[in-house]
Amino acid sequence: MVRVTGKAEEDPNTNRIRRLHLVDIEPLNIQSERPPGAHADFWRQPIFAEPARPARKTEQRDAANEKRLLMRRSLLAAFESDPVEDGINHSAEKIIEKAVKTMAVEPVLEWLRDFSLDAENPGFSASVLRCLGRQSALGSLSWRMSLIRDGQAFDSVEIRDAAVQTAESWGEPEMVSILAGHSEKKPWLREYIRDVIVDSRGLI
Amino acid sequence: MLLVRKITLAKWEGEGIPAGGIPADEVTVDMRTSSNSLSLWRCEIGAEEEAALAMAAASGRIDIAWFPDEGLQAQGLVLENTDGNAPVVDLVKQHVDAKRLDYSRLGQLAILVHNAIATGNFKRLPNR
Repeated sequence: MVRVTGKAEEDPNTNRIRRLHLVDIEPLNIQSERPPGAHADFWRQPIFAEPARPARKTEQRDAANEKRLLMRRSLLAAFESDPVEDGINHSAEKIIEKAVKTMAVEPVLEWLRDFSLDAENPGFSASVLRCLGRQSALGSLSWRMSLIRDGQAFDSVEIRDAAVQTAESWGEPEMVSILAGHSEKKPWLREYIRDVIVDSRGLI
Repeated sequence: MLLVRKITLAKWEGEGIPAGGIPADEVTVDMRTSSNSLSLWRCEIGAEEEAALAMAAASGRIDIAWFPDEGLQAQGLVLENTDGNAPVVDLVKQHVDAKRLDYSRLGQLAILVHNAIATGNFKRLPNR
């Protein structure tokens, strides 16, 4: 019999254990070390149980994670089926609209922010951002400003471009300072930002 | 004459793609075909903005890239004039479909658009 110690790596999306890293294997001679009820292949079971938490909170968190995953999958499917095009309504807009109307707003805004600022999936993020630009009065002004500011800081030109388009679409004068404060390396995007700033200043 | 295609400029940057490579998103998103046909607009040299007007939607901005239409038929590409869905009636007849596209011919068109962008034959236009 051996004692196996390891480190658990959690999946941030599901909060379930994704991977176990072996730290140590120590031989044991004591029969009583075997967990009660353990059978011959007990070592196949996860080394660590989930940390004890009040059941209600865990259930709530699981339900929220489930909804988040479902929303992400719905958006991915919508973008896979049809790319976002200027001037053409997209089914993802309805998904976002419905989520904001039917679920607790704060977590939904947090999910949308995560989806919009995902460096691993710039195409997906850019599409979400562009659809957010088609929602009126989504979140607070500071939430919207922070989204644009953070979007512009990405390495991906797709996300940066989508952030500018979203700012333009929201058309809020407060966005001008964010756009003006950004130093853009792509000439065509720099020119576009300049145009948006000029147009926005014309509206003030 | 020129052929103009509506694109999404940011997708053609090809981040993470080796130099000279054509990013898959360019083909799967911006070169989406319908019934094996790709929608293009024809215009005189220097009148690209007029073609953009034909593609104009309600709001936002529009990205276009253009390339000369010479030699395309010799390369096996079939171009057919078809009425376009343009908001400006006078421009409806400027629409052309690249028809009977297969994997290789679509790739040829993707290379033309890619080269157009590389040589500065693209524009982002306000769509108002």
